[in-house]
Amino acid sequence: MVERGDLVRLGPVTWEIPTSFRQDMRVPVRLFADDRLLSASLEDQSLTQAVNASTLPGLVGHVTVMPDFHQGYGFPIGGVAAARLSDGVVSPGAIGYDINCGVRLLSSSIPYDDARRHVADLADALYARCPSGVGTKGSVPLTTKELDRVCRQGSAWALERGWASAEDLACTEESGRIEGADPTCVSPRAKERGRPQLGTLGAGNHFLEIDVVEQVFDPQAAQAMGLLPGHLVLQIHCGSRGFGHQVCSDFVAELQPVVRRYGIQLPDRELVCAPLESPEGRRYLAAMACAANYAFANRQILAHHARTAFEEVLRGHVRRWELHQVYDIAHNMGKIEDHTIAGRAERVCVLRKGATRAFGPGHAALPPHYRAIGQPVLVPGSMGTASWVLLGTADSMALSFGSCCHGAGRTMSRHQAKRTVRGDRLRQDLQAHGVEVRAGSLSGLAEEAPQAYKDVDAVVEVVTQAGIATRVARLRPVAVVKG
Amino acid sequence: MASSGFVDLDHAADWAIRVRGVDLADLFHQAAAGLLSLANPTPAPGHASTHIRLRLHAADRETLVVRWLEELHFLLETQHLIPRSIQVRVSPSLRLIADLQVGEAATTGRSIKAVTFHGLRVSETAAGFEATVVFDV
Repeated sequence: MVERGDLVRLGPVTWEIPTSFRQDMRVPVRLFADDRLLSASLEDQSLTQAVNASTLPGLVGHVTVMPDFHQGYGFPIGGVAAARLSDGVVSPGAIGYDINCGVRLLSSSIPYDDARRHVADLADALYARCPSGVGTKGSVPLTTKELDRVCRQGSAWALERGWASAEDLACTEESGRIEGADPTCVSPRAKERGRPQLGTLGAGNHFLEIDVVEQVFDPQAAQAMGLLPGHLVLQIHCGSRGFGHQVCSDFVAELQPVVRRYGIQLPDRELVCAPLESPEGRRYLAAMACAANYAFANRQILAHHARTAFEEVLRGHVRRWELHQVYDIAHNMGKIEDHTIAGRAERVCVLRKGATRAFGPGHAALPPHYRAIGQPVLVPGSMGTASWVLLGTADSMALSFGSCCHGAGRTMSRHQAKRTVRGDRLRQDLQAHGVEVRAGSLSGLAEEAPQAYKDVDAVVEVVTQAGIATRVARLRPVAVVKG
Repeated sequence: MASSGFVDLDHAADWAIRVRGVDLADLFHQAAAGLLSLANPTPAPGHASTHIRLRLHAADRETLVVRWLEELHFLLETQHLIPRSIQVRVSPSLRLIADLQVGEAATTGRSIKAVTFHGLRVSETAAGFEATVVFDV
């Protein structure tokens, strides 16, 4: 276990576990946290998992840990690492089972005051139109051939069917399509799980949420994103469903003997990996890209359903009901990116697990209308609490490989949450506080209670103090739909 | 905890169980019971059941545990089938043969994304075998 005395304080919210902590560490661990968030994290295995992650071959700089971090499996949730292409590795467990789990934010010109009496109907319509729950059958059943096209095209597949606009794709990380996807690298079992699930929300911590723009901190950026104070926005949080889960499972199993072949010693089998330049590493990246593209298409189809729901409920009641894409970002992904490390340009594979990309102003990967301000960073809070829209900074490139936090981060186990909170009471409490709740499972609702998560405002305070993001707007929830 | 059975463990984000068995076959049987208890699916009305035989092999016990639980999870999520009875045999060379009587699921229960290798070690104890399994949920 890592203890407080093992951490060196580098700044008000920046801590380091030096490589001297354990002899198998290849790079230090750099953590962003205030005293309270740090104390909470010392109670679980998350920092030990970050130390374990630092033993992966070919890492550069440091393993970065975001303030919303918590214990995961193998690699901590909220962890970021970068591996050199020449001698680094890719680890499926360091990206996670829900490949390209991510968040999409859509803005509107709908004043909350005009829509207030329709919010319950909107929640009903979203719940009806966006299939949720375990292994749910989706709105877009696919043949294997069509699934392969989704794998190659991502959001562009939805665009061809009229379920997306060119603006949607422009405002999606990587334009909604990761290069290098090869469906022949995906197992038949993954395809069997993925075929019926496109266009579904899933269960667990995935959600649709209608929010009101409560407070704007950066009017210029908010205007560029179409975020109007007092107006509705919609968040969509989900990923690659059983398709991505199976892709990860397949490669975690397949790579078990591979590490021995490449002479890689690991402290946890869940960190199993392959050299980026090896046939096994390339195959995983090609399969991961398929799952990432599936997830982009999935969120795009859900956005289409949400737009239909908004039109169905609000037409005739408000002047404009359209939803415009602000941005769509991944928070479980391995990306090939160029970074400057110790003054030298390096092409690396950045592994983000429960962390988002957060590129600063001027980055070529950003769409033209965001290039001057930086990349929107979407930080959903726990159910019933605030969410944040931030901007990536130039400093984030040096401090965190252009990465930022992805949410509030759990602090309570699911069992403990269910012991502490009753789903029906939670729903009543949220409704009493003006948040409509539609959920398929009351016990699932209890597991996601706000008490089970860290304070998202504290998390955002840390990333802004650390200099890896700036505040744009704070969002207040008025309706939540969960599987 | 008894020498045969499973208990839920607290885990910040995911689910974990500690499983014990008097022998390897019992360990696999109890691990299956743990998975089904976590997922908590609802059987469809009626008593119709089908026999399925699973044959699995792995190079080590831990991989066999993951494969076994993945098979049951796949049956549940994709085929909507719940095992009603399970008979497992595991040979010293880690070949597993399981005879399942499965019935249809009305609901597949709680979401499980995957069975992980995180911290997984099947260890021999004085009373048999023990393992801790973490599920991504």
